[in-house]
Amino acid sequence: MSRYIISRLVLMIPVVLGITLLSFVVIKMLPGDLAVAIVGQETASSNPQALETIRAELGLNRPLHEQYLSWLAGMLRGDFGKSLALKTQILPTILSALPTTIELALLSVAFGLLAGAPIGVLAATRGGVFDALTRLAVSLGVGVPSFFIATLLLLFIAPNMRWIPVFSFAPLTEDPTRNLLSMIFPVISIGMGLAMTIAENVRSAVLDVLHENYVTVAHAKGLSQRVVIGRHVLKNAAIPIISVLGLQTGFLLSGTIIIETIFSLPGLGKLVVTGINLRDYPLVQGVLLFTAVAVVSINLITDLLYAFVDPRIRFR
Amino acid sequence: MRLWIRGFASVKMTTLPAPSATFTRATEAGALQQTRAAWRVLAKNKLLLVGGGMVAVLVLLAICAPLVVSHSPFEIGLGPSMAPPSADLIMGTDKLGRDLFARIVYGSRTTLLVSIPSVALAVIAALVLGLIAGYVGGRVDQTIMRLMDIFLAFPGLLLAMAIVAVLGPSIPNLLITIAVLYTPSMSRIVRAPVLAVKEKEYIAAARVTGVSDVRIIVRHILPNIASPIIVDATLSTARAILIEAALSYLGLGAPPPNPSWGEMLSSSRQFMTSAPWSALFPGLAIVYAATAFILLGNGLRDWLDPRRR
Repeated sequence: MSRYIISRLVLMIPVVLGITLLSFVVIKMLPGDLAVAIVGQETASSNPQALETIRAELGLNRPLHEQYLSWLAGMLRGDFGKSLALKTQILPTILSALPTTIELALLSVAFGLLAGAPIGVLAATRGGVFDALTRLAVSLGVGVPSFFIATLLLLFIAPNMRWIPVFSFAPLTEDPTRNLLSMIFPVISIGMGLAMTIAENVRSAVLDVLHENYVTVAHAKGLSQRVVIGRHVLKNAAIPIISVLGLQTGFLLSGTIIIETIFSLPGLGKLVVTGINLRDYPLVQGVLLFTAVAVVSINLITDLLYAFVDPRIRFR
Repeated sequence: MRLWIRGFASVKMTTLPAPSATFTRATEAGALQQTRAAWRVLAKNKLLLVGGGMVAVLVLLAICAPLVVSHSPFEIGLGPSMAPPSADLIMGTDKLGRDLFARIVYGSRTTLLVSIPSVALAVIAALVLGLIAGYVGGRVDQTIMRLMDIFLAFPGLLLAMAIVAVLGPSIPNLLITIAVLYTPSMSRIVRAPVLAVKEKEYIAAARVTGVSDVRIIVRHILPNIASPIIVDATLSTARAILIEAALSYLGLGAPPPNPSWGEMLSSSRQFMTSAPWSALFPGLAIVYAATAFILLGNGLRDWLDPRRR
């Protein structure tokens, strides 16, 4: 196992380096001058001296590869630089926005599992009309964007349920009740699509296992349907479902960007939209790098979990 | 050597006995039966029929937009701002008093002009990268696939937002962005079957008879990867529609006055309680377009994969 972990970690190095390079290049390709953006257009034309000072300070007059290496060294020290618009250090800003995004993502996954898994199991075991309805709902549900679900919730449900706070977020540590209530609509908006994906995968995973001999034996032993499904079918169907959840990380983060913006939740997504609207490119660069490394790490962790659960994978 | 094998093969071909008349008739009847069977499967495939029909309606609407609407989608002040649906303006008006129905119909042009060419571009890029990676193998394969992994590490919407922010929001730039977004996953779909087919004996046979690499790829490998690519391209079109809508919802879509469904949905937010229809119609348009391509893609998958029939 330790050998597998080490080989996976070594394989991750070039990908992470590539991520830093891509984040660096994307922002370097931007039209316009970062120094001009900092001092402002007027100062730049009236006071070229100030412009030069800032350039020298940021190292913008050095060759590109040197700029990249010193930027990379800063990243490794945890120095992501300073945000232009917010005038704060980028890494602490990202870290303070992170809990909201993680909370939203975890609650959405929980909602997706609680809503999707039972539907998937029922569709696979009952079959018939219920199965057909589930398959229809799945193909229709995937085409509904989270921001339209959010719009529908705000339009038809929110006015009738005034006890659910919208647009008034409170951190979990300050006012847990308010925080959790204000998460209801955002979580449903993201979780619906996820529930459909989970239902579809649980359905096919259960169908795959349902005809195994050990399931027939379990039935023949006289175990109740509930016990057979719970003990024998779901346990074996769990592995493909875990890997599907791991692959949804990127999708989840994409969902949080737009949903946080709609419901003004102070998470990473809202931060990056603010960064793009205010042309705060060091901030965008920081979030880009941070999330990509997070996605790669989460994928690695799912793979390791997967290998831990199913020993066959390690030896492939 | 090569010539000899070729000559040998051609000699063998010519010395084969000519097919008898009954044999020809039998194969003709068989072919007819096969065609009929294919049609029967097609007719039974409701997903394909419904999805195909929905896509056809969407494409027709986009092409015939001027014939469908009675007002220009750009004309300001046709009615009062945020007017409710009426006989003349069947979906009401937007903030600037423009005909919402006309804007939604013309919005299908924006959607299709971004999503279909971007997916086509991604297919071409993925074919080139995936075929090279799979066929050449070794270091080239490792380099290309690790490069694709790097792109896949970024959450789709975030990468798209960053690229559009760099390039500036315009229809050609959206097209490039979405193509960049879908090339990595698609090149994986191309590469996997190439790796499998490459090892087959008929490829080795083709190679010893001196068939060139390009010909092997075109004649023997491409037909094997056509179905997964067609299916994924259709499903990716649905994803591209949703990403385009999300980008324009965030203000990074086709610039005004281009009608775009995502932008219409987002600008209706401030009027939602007084004019709910202004949010409903663009949202339903997005759902319709995305669902059409998803159903078509799933239908195609069932149709092209005999095991799923």
